[in-house]
Parts: sequence; structure tokens; C-alpha cells
Amino acid sequence: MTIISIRPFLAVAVSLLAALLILTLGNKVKPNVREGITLSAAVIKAALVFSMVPAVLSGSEYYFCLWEIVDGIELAFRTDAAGMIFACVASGLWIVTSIYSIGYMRGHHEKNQTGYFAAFAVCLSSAIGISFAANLVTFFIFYEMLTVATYPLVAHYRDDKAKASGRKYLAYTLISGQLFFAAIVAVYAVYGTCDFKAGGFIEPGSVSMGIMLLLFFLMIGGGAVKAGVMPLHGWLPSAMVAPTPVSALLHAVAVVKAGAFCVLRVVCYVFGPSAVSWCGADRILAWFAVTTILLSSFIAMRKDNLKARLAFSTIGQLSYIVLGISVLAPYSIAGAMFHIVAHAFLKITLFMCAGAIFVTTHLSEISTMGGLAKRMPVTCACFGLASLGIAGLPLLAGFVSKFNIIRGALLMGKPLFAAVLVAAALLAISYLIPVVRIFFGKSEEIGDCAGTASGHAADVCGGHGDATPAMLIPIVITAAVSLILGIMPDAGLHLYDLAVMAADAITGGGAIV
Amino acid sequence: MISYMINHIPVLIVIVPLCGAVLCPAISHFSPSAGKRTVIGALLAAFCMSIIQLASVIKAGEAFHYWLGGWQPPYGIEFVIDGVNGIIIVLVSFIGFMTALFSSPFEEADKEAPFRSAGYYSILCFLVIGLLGLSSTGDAFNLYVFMEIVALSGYGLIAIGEKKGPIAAFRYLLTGTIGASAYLLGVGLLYSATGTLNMADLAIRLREVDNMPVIVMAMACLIVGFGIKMALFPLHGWQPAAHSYAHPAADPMIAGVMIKIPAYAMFRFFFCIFDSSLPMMKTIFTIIGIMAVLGILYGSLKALRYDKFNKILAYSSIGQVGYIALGFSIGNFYGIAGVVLHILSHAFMKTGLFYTSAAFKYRYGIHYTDQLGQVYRKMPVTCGALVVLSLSMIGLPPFAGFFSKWYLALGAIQNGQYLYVAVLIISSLLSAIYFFRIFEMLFMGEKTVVEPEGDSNEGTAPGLEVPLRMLIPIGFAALMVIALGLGNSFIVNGILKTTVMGVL
Repeated sequence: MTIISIRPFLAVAVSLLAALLILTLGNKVKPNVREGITLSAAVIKAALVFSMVPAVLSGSEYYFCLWEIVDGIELAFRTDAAGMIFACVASGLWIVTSIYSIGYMRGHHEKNQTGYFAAFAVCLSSAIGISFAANLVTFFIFYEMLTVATYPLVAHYRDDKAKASGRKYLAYTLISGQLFFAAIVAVYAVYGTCDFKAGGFIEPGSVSMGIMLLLFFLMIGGGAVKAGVMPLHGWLPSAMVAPTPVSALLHAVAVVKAGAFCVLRVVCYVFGPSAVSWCGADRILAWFAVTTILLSSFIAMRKDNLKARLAFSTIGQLSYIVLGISVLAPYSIAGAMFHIVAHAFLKITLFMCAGAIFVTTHLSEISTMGGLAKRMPVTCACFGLASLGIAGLPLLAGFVSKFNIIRGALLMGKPLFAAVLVAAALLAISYLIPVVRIFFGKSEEIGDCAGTASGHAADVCGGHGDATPAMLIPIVITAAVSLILGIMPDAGLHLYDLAVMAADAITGGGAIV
Repeated sequence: MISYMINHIPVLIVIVPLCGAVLCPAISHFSPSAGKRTVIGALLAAFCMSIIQLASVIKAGEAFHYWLGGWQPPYGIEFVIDGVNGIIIVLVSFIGFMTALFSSPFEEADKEAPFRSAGYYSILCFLVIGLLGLSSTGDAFNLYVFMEIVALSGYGLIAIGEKKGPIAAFRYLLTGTIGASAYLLGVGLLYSATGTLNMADLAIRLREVDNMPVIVMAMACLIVGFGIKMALFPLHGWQPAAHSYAHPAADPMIAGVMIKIPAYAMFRFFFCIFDSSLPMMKTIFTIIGIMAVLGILYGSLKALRYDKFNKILAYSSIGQVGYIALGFSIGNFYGIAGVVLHILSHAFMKTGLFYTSAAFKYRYGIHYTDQLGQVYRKMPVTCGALVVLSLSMIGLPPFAGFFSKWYLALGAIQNGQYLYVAVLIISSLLSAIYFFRIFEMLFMGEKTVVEPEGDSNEGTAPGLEVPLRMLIPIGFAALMVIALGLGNSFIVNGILKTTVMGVL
């Protein structure tokens, strides 16, 4: 049943409005007012998104059409189960990231905060637009908006390194975006429609295999770049120069998940499982994902910079989602979608811990962080919990998604992929647990900031405490949620149910728990 | 009285500004600022009338024929207004009005030399008159007359620009005259073959002409003529200098609109007059397509090499005119829809960008992009508009530039012309390079913006970065780019579909 309601559009529009307000008023009002705008927009947006969950769970969809955006295609929003998952994660985590940003940016005495918060708001607007887009053109509009809005965040520090990584980021995303554009036009010209349809609207055999493969890879390029599938992952590690809340958002919520979501939409809602397996694209994609998972884990193990290690971990984890999608089994697709949720909460916890450590102690290399737990016990405990979750230990959110993907792979008769996932879990343990061991191990000269950057205010360095509450509370919240979702995947917003619903719709009803 | 006026709107749109332009120097003798306001008022009136005209054409659903002096064609001159040129007339009059408004801080009425600024406004108004007439006319020789009015005004406005202005104007004069002569030759050939100059009549009589060489020769002459006026590669030689050194306040009109209307005239000839089912038309369009592809690549690549803001924008225009020629080469409904949409959107984009360039010159004397260091702190609105306009030029949604690209690409794929899609993509990426370089200077550059000696901003209300008369056009250009983007379907479906499908 389709409900016509303006709520999907409002969810997108509220943060655009907030961005406009912040840009026009930003320098003229007190910082607290400006942050107030951000937080209230975040809360309103999350409320709007969450309010739509009950109806979607019962099988309805919200639909809102603004007007015809190009001849024959409408600027339309449709909240199906898959879109709701991404939207709930994005909007919920925006509240958390905003609170954390406030603590980080102020603790670090950052400049250009107005532009930062405005760009953040536009990013979130694009993320919700991406999740609710009803057709490829609407999707593409918000996808490119996301690219443009994240550029000022990546290049935030405005020095030479930031400029260089900004350029790299743009090169990757704009080129893949243009190829995506060509594919969308081609698909529309050939098939006459580009509305997303569960199970895809492209029939196997409707064009030659070569052309279908070409269209598929042109289209998936856009998603693959943002999702960090190797060899298109180059922008991610260099984007680490951004402030940590940006990395938290980019690498847990907005950009990379948008890429994974794009892969989901293209494989399952445009091409569909039958067309993709007919032309063999699923196998090719799966092997790229496998390579990425394994290679990124090995690279992560060798990185001493904490954020770099987490960046490569992200690259690997996102390819779990891509792998789950390309296996094309109902369980694995559901697992992949739930991993969007699980990884978001787990990774954002890890990044926020890294940022908190940097602001409080100015440390960024793991080898210098020995015994950190004595000074920042809560932070390190949450980091440890999230690490176990990334590795896929039961009782944490990561296990639920991994288990489903492995199960799907086995049921589809692809045991090799299951083995890869198990191996990846072991690799994750080997690049994250040593960090935890260092935290809880012998201490180095941390407490008095000797050897670190001098001349900072006493409240930041040389103190004895953990991170400030503005940063600590979000960390604890996201870690707790990862735990809750691991024990009861359906808690709260029933995100696991939504994932199952979506997978069902895509595969036309394979049996799922 | 009102209905009398409405019946004569097509010619009033040209006559009212004509009166304004002619009266301006005379009135300036008594009161310089009144002369300026005459022109601005006349252009505003033309704009209002053009909207009424467009509305009545859409309501009527068919083209509006106006016979000058009541004399019927094929002996009399007629103005023909349909959906396509209806919108273009609205565009030209609107941008004309905005540019005249924008010029006022540059050419302050001067009691000592009243004719200097009066001359400027007068010539600007003549430029608009020429463009309006060029868009409205349905007679081939009348088109030449208006084209020459445009050219002469253009020479004047370029010559009173910067130091190298006169040289650039002279180059334009030489090439432009060759172009106009080529056009005249083409029209002469057509006249000799058919005996008529009226466009609708030509369309009918050309179908009966057996003499193919004459028609091919005429087409070639017309392509050269329009190509020179449009700055289509390889006939673009005059353009970069002319657009870089023109008078800063008139440059938006010159760079944004003046080179587009000959493209519209080319559309009229090649789609409405010549028989498009002739087998040789395929060859002609392929040739135009090749010129377009080369122009797009040449313009985008050349723009990367320069530091002067206006030069970058000028070479970018060569690429954008290539988009229009590409649309002609595609030739189906989406191709033409893309062309018209691109004429509209690029007019606002380029005009807006030249407004911001002039604003930078006015406030800080900035000519080069490396002088832009962090100017956004002092000129936030201008820089915000610059960002919107540049993103549209690159072809990013939801701005207008993306949607014209969409229609062109769709038309190309429907025709199997995949190379054109590749060229569009490459051009977008190259534009991204030089526009994001400008962003980098604007937002992240070394701080080099220095307040010039004295108060360059006198006459501006406190708190405003440049006078309101300059900010409003800048703001409007950015807003129109957004509005054209989001609302492009209203134009394509509402206005273009009936007109263009009737033509194809």
C-alpha cells in the first residue's frame, strides 16, 4: 500500500533549510545558537524518519512526488524497507555526530566552523535523499550533491595536504559520477524507465551480454568508488586529513554507506538478481569484493596511524556489504543491509574514540598509546567493545550481519566466500586487538604531555581525565547500541526486520528466518 | 487601447528600447541620470511586454505572425513568434534589463562628460535591440540588418573596455564583417534560387528547387556566417580577446547572450527552412558535429591554461557553444530541447559569472584568479553565487547545466551517437578542473586581497559588498540557474514540445 505523504521530502528538506540558516546567520550569532540549529534539525529529521518506520514495517510505502524533473521522470521519494534502513542509520547517527562534533571542534579550537556545520547539514540532506530516491535520476541528483557537499569537509584544514586530498577525492568521485550519469541515460534510453523496482526492471537477455556488462560496470563504478572497493579506494586513506568527526561521518555514515547503498540499488533494484547473474557481473563484483576484504586487512595491520588503520578496516568492511549483495542469496542480502547498520555504529565508535584520543592527548600513532586505558578508561573500553564487534564476535552487532552473509553464501553453494569471511574475521582480530592490548598494556609518558605538542591549554593536555562529556557520551551511546543490536537485532526500529523484508522483496520470497 | 497595444507587441518590444536608446543622449544633455534611467526603463518595459507576448503565444498554441506596417509577406517584413523564440526574447530582454541595471555603478552619470556614459547606455540598448529583432524576425534580410546592429554595438562596447579593447574590437570587426558577408552571400544565393526572402516562404519554395549546388553553397555560407558570429570552432578566433577585454559591465551581455542568438538563427535556418529530410543534411550535420566536438574539447582544454578569470570564462564559452552545435548535430527532439535549454541556462550561467568577474574588478580590481585569495570573507554573496554558477557550468545537479546535458546525452544515445556522450562527460570533467581551481583560490588561497587606495566602495550602502544594483543581477542569475534546473520540465514539456515537434 502506498501512502502519499510529504514526510520523506520534509526529512530531506529540514537539513537543507538548516544549512541555509547556518550559512546566512552563522557568523552573526553565538556559536551555541548555530549549534542549536544543527541539533534541532538533526532531531527533527530523525523524528520524521523514525515516524515512518511502523508503516513500512507493515508493508506500506510512503511516496511523495515533487514534480517532473526531466521529461518523463519525476523528482520522487519512496520509502521502501532498504531506504528506511539507511535513512534511520544516517539520521540517528547525525544527532550523535553533531554532539561529538561540537565537543571536538571546540576542544580543538577549530576554525571555519560555520562552513563545517553547514556542509555537514547538506551532506545529511543528500544522504536521506539518496535513501528515499524513487528513481535513478533523483538518486543521482542527491548522489552528486553528496560529492559536492563533502568536498569542503575533506579539505577543511585548507592547507596543502587538504587541498591535495580534496583534489584526489573529487577526481575519483566526479569521474565515477559522470560514468554513472552516462549509464543512467543509456538505461533510460533503452528501457524507457528508471524507477527502482525490487528485483530490478532489466530483463536478462534484453540486450547483449557485452552491453549489459558495460552498462552494469559503468553504473556500479559510481557506487564502488564511494564504497571503497579496490582498486577505486585511493581517495579514502588520503581523506583522513579531515577532522575526525568528518572521518566518522564519511567512513561510518554518509559517503561510504551511500556507495554501498548505491551498489545495492543498482544490483537489486535496477538490474535485479536474475539479470546480474545472467551476465556474470555478480561473480566479477564478488571477486573484487573478496580481494578488497583480504588486501585491506593486510594493509591495515601495517599501519601505525590509528585513523589510517581504521580507514583500511572500513574499506574491508564495506566490501562485506558488496560481497553480501553479489552473492545474491536472500540471507546474504539481508545480512549485507544489516551490516550497513552494524558497521555504522561500530566504526563510528572507533573513529570517535580515535578523535577523542587525539584531542585529549594529541596522540595519533598507535605505538605511542601504550597504557592509555589508565587515563581514558571509558574510551578504551568502548574501543575494545567495538573492535570485538568488527571482528564479528557474537553478542555484538557485527556477528548478526556476518552470520547471515556466510549462511547465504553457503546456501547458494559458494563456500569459498564463506571461508573468506571467516578468514577476514580473523584478520580483523589481528589488526584491532593489538591496539586494545596496547591501550591496556604498559603505559608510556602520556599523563604529562611530555614529548607531545606543547603550548596547549591545560584543559586539553596535561589533564588527568578522559575525553570531555560532549565526546564521551556519543561514544558510549554508539557502543551500547552495537551491543544491544547484537543481542536483539530487532530492538528499537526493527532494522533487522526491515532488512529481511527488503531481501524478500528483492529475491521474490526466498525463505528467511 | 490596450488591445491595440497587445496586437503590436512584437514590434513594440523592439521599438520601445529603440526610442530609449535614441533619446538617451538627448536627455542626458539635460540630466545625465535621467538618460540612464530612460534606457533602464525602456528595457524593463520590453521585458514586461515579452512576458505578455510569451503568455499569449502559449495560450494560442500556434505561432504569432506580425506584419510590419500591415504589408503582407512575401513583400512585407514579418515578425514570427512561436514558443522557441518567445522564450529567447524573454531571456534577452531580461538579461538586457539586468545588465543595464548592473552597469549603473560602473558608468555613473557624470555632469562634466554627460555623453560618455550616455553613449555607453545607448550602445548597450542598441545591442539589446539588435538581439531582440534578431530573435523575432521572420525575414532573412531583416535578420541581416539586426545582426549588423548587434555587431556594431558589440564592436563599440568591446572597444571602450580595457586597454587591449580596441585591438580586440578591431579583430572582431574584421572577422565579424566576413561572417556577416558570408551570411549575406548565403541569403543572396537562396534568393536567387527561390525569389523570396521571407522565411516561411523560403521553406516552401526550397522544396521545389532542383539546383542542389546552389543550396549546398548557401548552406556552407550560412554555416560560416553563423559560425563566426557564434564563435564556433574553428571560427572562434576573435572571441577570447573580445570577451576578455570588453567593458566589464557590458561583458555579461556580450559573452552570455550575444553569441547565442546567432545559434538560434542557425536553428531557424537548418531546421525550419531547409528540408531536413534531404540526404545531404546528414553530411552537413555530421560536419557541424565534428566542429562541435573539436570546439568542446578545445575550449575546455585551453581554459585550463589561463589565469585571467575572463579568459578562462571566454574559452569555456567556446566549449559551451560546442554543446549547442552538438545538439544541432543530434537533431532529434531531445537534441533540440537540450539546445534551447542550454541557450537559456548558459545565458544565465555565463552572464552571472561575468557579473561576478565585474564585481571583483569593481571592488578590488581583481583580474587574475590568483588574486582571489579568500575574497569570500569580504564578498560572501558574490562568492556564493559564483559557486552556484560554477557548479552549474560543470554540469552538476540540481542546477540547470546538468539538465541540458541530460537532454543532449539522451538525444545522442537515442541516435546511437555515443561519442557525443563521451565528449560531454570529458568536457564536464575538464570544467570541474578549472572551476575547482578557482574555488581553491577563493576559499583556500593565500590571502592577497588588499583594500585598494581610497574608498573603492563609495556609493555602496554600508554592509553591502558591492552596490545593490550589482548584487541583484548576480543574485538573480544564480536563482535563475537553480530555477531553470528544477523547472526545466515545464519549459521542455510546456513550451518546447509543441513547437519543436511541429518543426521536426
